[in-house]
Amino acid sequence: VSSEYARLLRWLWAALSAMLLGLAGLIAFLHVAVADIGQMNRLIAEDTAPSVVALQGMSVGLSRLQSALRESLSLSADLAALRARIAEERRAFAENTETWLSLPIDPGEGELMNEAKRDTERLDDLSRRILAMTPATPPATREAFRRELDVTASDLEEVILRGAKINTDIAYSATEVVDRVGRRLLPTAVAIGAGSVVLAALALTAAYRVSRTEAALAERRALQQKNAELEAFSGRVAHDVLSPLMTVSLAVGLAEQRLTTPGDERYHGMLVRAGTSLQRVRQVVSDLLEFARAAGPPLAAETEDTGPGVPPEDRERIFDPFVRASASGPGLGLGLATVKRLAESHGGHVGLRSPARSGHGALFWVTLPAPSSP
Amino acid sequence: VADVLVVDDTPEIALTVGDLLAMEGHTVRVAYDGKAGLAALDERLPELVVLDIEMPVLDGPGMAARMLNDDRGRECIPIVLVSGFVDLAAVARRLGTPYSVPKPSTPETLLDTVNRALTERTAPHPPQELR
Repeated sequence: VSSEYARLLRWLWAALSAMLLGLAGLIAFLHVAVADIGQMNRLIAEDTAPSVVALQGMSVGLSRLQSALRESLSLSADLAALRARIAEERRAFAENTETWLSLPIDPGEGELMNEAKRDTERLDDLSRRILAMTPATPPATREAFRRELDVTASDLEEVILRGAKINTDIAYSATEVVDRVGRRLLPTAVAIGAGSVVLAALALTAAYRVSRTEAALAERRALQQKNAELEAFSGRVAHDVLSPLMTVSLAVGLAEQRLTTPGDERYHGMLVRAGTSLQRVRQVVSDLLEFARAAGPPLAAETEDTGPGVPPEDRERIFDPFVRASASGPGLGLGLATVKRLAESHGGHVGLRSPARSGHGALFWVTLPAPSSP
Repeated sequence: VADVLVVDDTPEIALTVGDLLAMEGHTVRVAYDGKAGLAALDERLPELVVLDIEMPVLDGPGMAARMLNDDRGRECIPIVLVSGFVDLAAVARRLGTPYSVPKPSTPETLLDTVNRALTERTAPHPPQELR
């Protein structure tokens, strides 16, 4: 039982340890996953999305600026009115550019920003030259300005598109990372969770069996102790009953030997029967000892004699200390009381039937509970 | 005819056993516990000790152990254990004496064992691991 017990305890500890390790792993994994997802979210929300919005604003502003400058190139243009409009568009464009430049710089974006600054300077320079035109400016110059405007605007537009592409690419790969982490998250959590549930069930089973084994061990110890006490007590009783009979035995034996006078057969027979009675007492005591030592199935024992029996008025009190059947011989009246005390201290019972089965005498019985019952 | 010491805490038993042995012609002394028994040994070494097991002050095995403790001659005296003790055989085995008589016994059983002990004179010899 104790090796089984140790095995169960090892199981219990192993299951609990594995469960704790699994849960710790799950927490670590969740921690990393949530941090990854948060980082990707911040990248999209605080960098790529605002960048794309700013670049879109730049693109719109650039087309407006470009169309205003185109209008300025025609001969009938009202330059004074257009000057204000161009200044307004230029300011809006600069605002969006400023927003883009202030956002975190992604790989490849820095070079692009420098290019955008150079192209914007070229555009500003061209604007100044266009607005400085007079009605006398020749058509050929106006045509050259138009071509330069188209090229510059196209260069700037390309820079803007490339910037938008860089940012959407980054946002896309960020969503891919989030998606991948999310896809891994659920199966891993489910696997570790299910494993923990299984381990918890194992630990619970082991704990239950440990407690059962523990209870069985305690019961067995209690029973062993009770048996040892019973054995010690009955040994004591046997010793105290048998020892004083030594004098009787020696005296009876000696008297029997020395009784040599002829015609004394009746005395001789009496002494022989006295010796036989002593042997019977020894036998009874040794049987009782055997009985007290027996363990296992429920115990029941009975003994009957062919004596005078127990009168009905004594049956209630016959097991009380110092009470003796009125017709019995010498004695202290402690024997049956001792048997009753012994039996009842171990959860058993005593009783009698008189007359016994044979029709006379008395039958005494003792039962003791099975050792396994509490 | 031998010199015998009877040690038993119950006077009736000690005296009855003593009388029985005296009737056989032995010289008998009686002691009522182990300590008194050892005192009687100091006075004079008998040829046999008839010894009870359970006694006050000093019990039978205790007295026997002290007899075996030294080599003043006490260790050579055979011992007959006489007791109502349930595990008399086990005590006799531990003490290493081949002579034991349960209580109660007939005079024949007791005298047979005593005579055997006086003839063989086997002193107690405890098993090595119990010494």
